[in-house]
Amino acid sequence: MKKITIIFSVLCILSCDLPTSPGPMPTHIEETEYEPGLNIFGILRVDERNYGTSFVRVERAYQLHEIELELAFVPTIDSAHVQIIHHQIDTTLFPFKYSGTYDNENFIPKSGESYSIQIDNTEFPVLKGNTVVPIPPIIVEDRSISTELGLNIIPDSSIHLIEVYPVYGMGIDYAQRFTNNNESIQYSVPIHHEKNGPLNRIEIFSYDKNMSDYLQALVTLKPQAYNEMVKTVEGGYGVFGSVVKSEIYK
Amino acid sequence: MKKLITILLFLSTTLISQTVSGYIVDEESGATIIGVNVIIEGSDRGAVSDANGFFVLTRLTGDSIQVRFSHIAYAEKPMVINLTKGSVYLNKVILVSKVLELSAIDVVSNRGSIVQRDMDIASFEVDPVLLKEIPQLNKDIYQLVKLSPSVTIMDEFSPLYNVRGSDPGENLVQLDGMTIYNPQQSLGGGSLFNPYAIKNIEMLVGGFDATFGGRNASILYLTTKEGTKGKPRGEFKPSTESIKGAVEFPLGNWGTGMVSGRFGSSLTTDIIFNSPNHGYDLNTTFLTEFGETRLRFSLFSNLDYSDMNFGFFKVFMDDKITDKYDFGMKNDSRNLAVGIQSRSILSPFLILETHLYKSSFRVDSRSFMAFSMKDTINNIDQRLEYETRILNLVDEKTAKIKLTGFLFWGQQISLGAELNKFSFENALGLNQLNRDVISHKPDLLAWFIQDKIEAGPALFKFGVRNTRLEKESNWYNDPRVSLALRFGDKTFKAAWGIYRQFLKSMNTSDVEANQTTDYYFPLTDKDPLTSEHRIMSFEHRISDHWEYSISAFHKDMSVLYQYDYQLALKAKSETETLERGKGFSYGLEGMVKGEWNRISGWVGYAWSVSKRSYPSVMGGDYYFATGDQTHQIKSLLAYRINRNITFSTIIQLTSGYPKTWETGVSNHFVYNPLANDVGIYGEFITPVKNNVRYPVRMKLDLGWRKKLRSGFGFQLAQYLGTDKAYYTMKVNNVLFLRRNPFMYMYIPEYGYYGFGNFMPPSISTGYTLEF
Repeated sequence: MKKITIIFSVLCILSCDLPTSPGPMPTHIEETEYEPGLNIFGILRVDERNYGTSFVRVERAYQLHEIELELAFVPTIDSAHVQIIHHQIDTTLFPFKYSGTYDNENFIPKSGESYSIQIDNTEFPVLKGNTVVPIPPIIVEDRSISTELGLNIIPDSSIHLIEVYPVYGMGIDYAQRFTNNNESIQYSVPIHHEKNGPLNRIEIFSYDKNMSDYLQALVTLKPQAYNEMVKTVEGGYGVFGSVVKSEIYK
Repeated sequence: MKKLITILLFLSTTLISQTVSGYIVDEESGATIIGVNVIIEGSDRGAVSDANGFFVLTRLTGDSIQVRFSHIAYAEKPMVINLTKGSVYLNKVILVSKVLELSAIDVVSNRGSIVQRDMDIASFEVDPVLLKEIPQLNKDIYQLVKLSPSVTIMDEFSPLYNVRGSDPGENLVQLDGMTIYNPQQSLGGGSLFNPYAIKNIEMLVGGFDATFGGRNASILYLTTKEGTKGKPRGEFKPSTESIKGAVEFPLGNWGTGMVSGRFGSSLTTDIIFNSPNHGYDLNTTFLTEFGETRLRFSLFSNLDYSDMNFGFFKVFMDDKITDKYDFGMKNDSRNLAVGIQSRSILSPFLILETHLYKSSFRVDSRSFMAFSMKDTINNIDQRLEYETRILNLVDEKTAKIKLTGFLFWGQQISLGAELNKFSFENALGLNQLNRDVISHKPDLLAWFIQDKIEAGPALFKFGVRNTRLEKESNWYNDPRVSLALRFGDKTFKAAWGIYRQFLKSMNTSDVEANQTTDYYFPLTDKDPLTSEHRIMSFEHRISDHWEYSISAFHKDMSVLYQYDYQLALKAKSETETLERGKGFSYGLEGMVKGEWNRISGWVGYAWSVSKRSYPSVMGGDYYFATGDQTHQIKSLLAYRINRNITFSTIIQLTSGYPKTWETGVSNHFVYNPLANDVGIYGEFITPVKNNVRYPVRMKLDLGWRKKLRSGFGFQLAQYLGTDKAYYTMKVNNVLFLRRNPFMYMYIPEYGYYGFGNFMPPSISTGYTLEF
């Protein structure tokens, strides 16, 4: 019994990790090289406005220890050279606007056209990406039932994901998402929402393949879990894609 | 093959040797007794009663034999059996229980057998009585199973386990022969089986013979109690959060029955976390017999509901910083299994078994997290909207038939067939996107033939199992061979076999807060999961009280599939949902079991390696499988302080989990099209999978059990007219200062910090009445 007591005592002492200490660290770490690069969210947007609403957010990927090296850690990049290239010929510059955001109010993309992005920064590899702006879907309204608005959405093949936002007088209902299976989408929206009041309008957003992949990406929130990162650009991280807005029941 | 069958059938009718067979039953209850040694006097031969309490002695010569029935809890029974009229079926051999106070020490050390157990090369058999005797097991079968050195885990909080390097979805759990899908609770991860209802627990961890199918890695075979012919007996245990009860009773001439059930609802979780939860499980067994046929009716049902919502944490947060915070998990799962088994002794050397059952499992599981936080420095919101939802239905209707004959040279030939009519429904959701329900209704048809030959010190078993998933698909022939050589107290065993599995479960461990469920999907139009097992073992029974075993295994998993949530959700067609890969595992296991003075129990050690390769992960390079734990030391030891008090320990020292260490962070953007702006949250960059090993896990749990012979507890038991009263105490998580990290978070100005179990040792006591 004494031996057992001694063994248990030694085990207990050896196993102590006070909460103030970081605890035992992993063993057998296979070091993997960090690849620096720009990280962007670039979206070309077609909507009812008569000025450009497209923008590009430019940041960089970073290592965790960088957070403590700088008191106010800011991964945004304000000195990038952002260009949108149409048909590989017409180049539009997106100047820096504020805090990592670049846009150009004179740039209005066209549905069905292809565009490229190129972002240069001396500290990081050149980032490139392509998108084809979707053609808006055909939307047929059905008002045969007084309490709801029926929608028949016929998507173009350039559309990969559709989001429907019913906007009510006192709030917005949850968006409904549909992937394009080359079939028309049937969807009904109540004319009067119990909580949000009467229906004002319905905004429908149709995304290209890049945006569809990125917005549907399932990101692992757990630390130390393998994450298949979705990116649609070369030379960096993030997404470059496009969206077309449709609005009905106004 | 046809010729072989013809020859075997011919021989079976012409060259039948003498056999003695029968059931061994308890005098008082009439219940069959498992693990009785039936020893032929004057020889080293014999048999052990199986899970049905049935035994068969073969290769008998002479006019009579003298046998001895021996079991730790029963008085030895000698018997002379006359063989002049040929083979004998004894129907019932009645044993009288000893006036013996079994304690943990007896149960742990003496459950083995004097005669070597058949030729199962890789089994882990424990007596369910341990669940009562060792309080720190929390009466949970899974905790007991996880003490096998063959079992590893990949998550501290998940009930899922890996056996010898395989994936959790390759484990089969059967209750009275019925497949039970996901028999575990979503909260806490304990098993759904009331230990009182369980009569026998046996786990095969590889090299199983041709009579078993369905899964590639392991079979956890549970047998329920069948009732008593004596006075009703059982237990009743009310508490503040649950009610548990079980009763075995006679049904007159109809037979016997057992009903057990548990209902629970954690009030603490409900109040503190604002999380409604409740669950129940129900086990019912009826046993009847007419002539030489035994019929067993089994019913298992459960409901498990929990709605965990941590949104209330928002009250502790500054509203100026946090606009929105919502985090939770919801789980609603149900099982129903009902079946009827028959076992007919057609002659002393021919047994016919049939089984009809239906088993279904349905789950609706939802995990969600949403927050929005102002980031004034970067002028962008930290934002996340995240929700996964999984609907899964498995419905199985099965018919089985098996014919076993005991023939010349001590041969035991088994022929059988099995038809499973499946129905699967899967639907996945992510945020506001709900994928359509995918339905499958395949039929799985299998047949097998197996022969076991005993020749001198050698036992040789070979068989083949043939399976196809649908009419149009191919038949897969899976040969399986095993050998046992006995030299006195030493036995050398070897096994080789091909195993195929036609169901695949989905991995959601990276997207759910905690994966507690296997979501099944049939491998229609695809090659089945394929494993080739090679196992060798050496067993030595040093004395009546000591034995040890050493096993080596190699498993070639030539066909594996990666079916994870991301892949399944993104797939445009079903053919894209599965990515084919491969893997292997190998290892050494050793176990010492027995009794030394006042200490009894077992100590097991395992060294193993398990790896995987998928084209989409690191270009197909091999990486450590998620459940890989290189070294494991596990022990369960009981120390008899005196005849009333038993002290027990459970020690687990295991290698840490392989995990993926992030190289950096790239913010993921969340787009709001209405406002045309973006929010962000950090996404880890992980180019290499499972490139670090977490530190060693250390766990120590202590327990005491005392039989009351005086005092208030004893007097209360006497007043209530019950037979026995016990006081138990357990201290779980004694090494609470050992962190056992399950994740590391990076804290600026501090570095990586390991998050483990900071909970102080949980001390609980119990009082049990047995009647």
